Amino acid sequence: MTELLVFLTIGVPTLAAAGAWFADDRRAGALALVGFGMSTVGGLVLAGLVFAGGTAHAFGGLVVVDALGAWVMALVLVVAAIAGAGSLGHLAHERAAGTLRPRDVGRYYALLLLFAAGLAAVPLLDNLGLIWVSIEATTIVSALLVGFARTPAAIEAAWKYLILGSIGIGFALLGTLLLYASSVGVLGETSDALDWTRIVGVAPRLDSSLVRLAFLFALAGYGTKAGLVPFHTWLPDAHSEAPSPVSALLSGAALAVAVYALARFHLVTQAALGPAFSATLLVAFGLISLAVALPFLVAQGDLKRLLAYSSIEHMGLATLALGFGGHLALVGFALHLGSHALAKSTGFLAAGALVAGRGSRRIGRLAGSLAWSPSNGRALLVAALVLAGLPPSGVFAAEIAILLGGVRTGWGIAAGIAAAMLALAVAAVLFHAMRVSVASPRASTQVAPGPAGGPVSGRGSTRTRAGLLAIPLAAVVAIGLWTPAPLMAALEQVAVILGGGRG
Amino acid sequence: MTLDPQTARAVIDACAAAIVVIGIGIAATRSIGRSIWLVAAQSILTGVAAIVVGLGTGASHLLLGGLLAIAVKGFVVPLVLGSVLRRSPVRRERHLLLGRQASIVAAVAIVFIAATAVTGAIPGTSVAASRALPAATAEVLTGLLIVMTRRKALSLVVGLLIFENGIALVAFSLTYGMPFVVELGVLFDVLIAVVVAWVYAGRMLDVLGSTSTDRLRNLRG
Repeated sequence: MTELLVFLTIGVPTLAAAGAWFADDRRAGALALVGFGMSTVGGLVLAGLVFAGGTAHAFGGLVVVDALGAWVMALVLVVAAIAGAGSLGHLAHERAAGTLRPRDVGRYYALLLLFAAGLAAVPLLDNLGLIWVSIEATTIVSALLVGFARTPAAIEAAWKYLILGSIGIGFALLGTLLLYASSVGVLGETSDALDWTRIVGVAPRLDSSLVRLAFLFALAGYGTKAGLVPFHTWLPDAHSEAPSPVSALLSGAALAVAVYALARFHLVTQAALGPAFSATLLVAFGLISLAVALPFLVAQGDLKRLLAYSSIEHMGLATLALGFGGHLALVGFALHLGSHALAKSTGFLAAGALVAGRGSRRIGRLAGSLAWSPSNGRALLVAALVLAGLPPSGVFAAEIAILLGGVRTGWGIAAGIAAAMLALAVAAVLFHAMRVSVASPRASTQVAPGPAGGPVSGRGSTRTRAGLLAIPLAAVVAIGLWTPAPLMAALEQVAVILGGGRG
Repeated sequence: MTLDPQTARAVIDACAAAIVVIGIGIAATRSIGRSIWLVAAQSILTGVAAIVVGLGTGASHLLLGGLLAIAVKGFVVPLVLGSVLRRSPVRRERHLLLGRQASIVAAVAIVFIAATAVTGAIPGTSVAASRALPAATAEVLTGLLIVMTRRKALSLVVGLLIFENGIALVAFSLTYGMPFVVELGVLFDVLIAVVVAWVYAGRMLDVLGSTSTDRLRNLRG
């Protein structure tokens, strides 16, 4: 049963990708629908089984899904479904604007499916080496998507992403190697000496200096992929130049997967060396990321870069939560990853639709979007308010849980500093959100819409897109008001896996 | 077929020394074509070292891994990079961030730092290939040096490959390599990364008329 579900989640989209690469536009769309649909259904059923019945194993121990893995996989798949559906509108616009080349649609869907499948595979794998291979593969595939538009800026962003991403994640491979060197000493030279399930079990017997070095390299490597400062320089470029559905997947899912890999290293390091070493580093890097993202949020004039810097801020917060530890902060961590994924992916899709309508990403030129594009404008406003951290929303509830949890586990000063920076971030994002939504647009925009200007999609597709954006946003807001019991139970299971005990 | 540990150690030491010398050579040259062939030679030596470790210790998966690495990084990758170079109008690094002498000095300094810092820093490395570890560290750092100081797209890929060779050397000087599936996966990733770099270098030529990353300075803030 688990085998079948894993095949649906990873295998079907991979096969669909292979088909879509060679297919014409219409068939590629159908294959993408099948790929994303079956993968999301399969993955969500698998996650449900894990939350109801405990850790699942498959393929002779190659695949191990615990509550943490199930949660991250589920959020990847939901974001992938949103991005897949959002691609319809994106491609329709590109086609109308005449920027699509023949067979571009098939290649786009093939890469998007591979990207999603690679991300969803990471939380299912037991072997830390294969986790690295899978994350690096997603980097390479998504580099092709980032530069899909073939403009000089997109090529630059993709190039930076490919080179910096590969170098950065090379450090994570060194970290993985060093951990393997320490575990070989205990477990012997078997292929499962890189399985995190086995390493955690023998962690107290590992060579402590090797583990310490391994965590430092993993932090730099997966920290690069998670956009932690100072390894973040590629992120605003890649996330803003990519086609918007790809930005949604990069910001909503790929960052969460990198944080997941970091969390596994943190768990091993904690078990080997005690909590102080890795937790302190995570808190420090979390705070630095919050602090550095802030001025870029305040002074931002580009809507997609605003969302990208907001991702750096939020990944800083997630890292902080991991470092704080304790049941409350870790429940907050899980809720935060999920809520951020939903809000950020819809935010990027709404922003993409607005940008396509005006042919510019400048906030000044997009101003007054509630008036000129009500459904997208509304979605962007709600997403921005949620991402700013205003109540009621899952993001707000998660932030409160993380900060309170930090105070409880003795990180009062760090939590206080983080609270102050989050408050400033609220003000910054709110200011820009208001400008985009209600300010009067600059005169020049009415005269000269960009090269891709003007409404291109028909009424029907506008309505579907509005629904696509409204459902995840409504869910994020609703979670802030009322958390259903099964969801709460799932969040608590994730916290237990992360070492947070029972509340 | 096996190799007695004495011979194995001598061969590995020779490979490690040659790998380090090639690293300095790449830092010294401005010709992109030469740096591609030098990094190919370095990759082949890294593969040979892996095979020798495999023969000396009986870790048979290293034989296959080493052969595959030689095929991919020693032949396929340089051919791919060479095909971009033939299309490119500029085949030399100009306006280096670090002058030729300075980069030679930096590369040599890296070797000394690596040799003194790593020896004895990591406990429990009673491995046949222990002298390869300083060389491995030196190559990781030399790769970073190239990536940071060169501007041509192809030079950055060369830097990335030196970095990868360093990691591969770390892998079998510490632990006789990684589990075989992982090694395969890593090699596959290197290959597709180079192919994607090839795609983008081609697009840079089409759109910007050059593979100089100097032209890529528009994204800020």
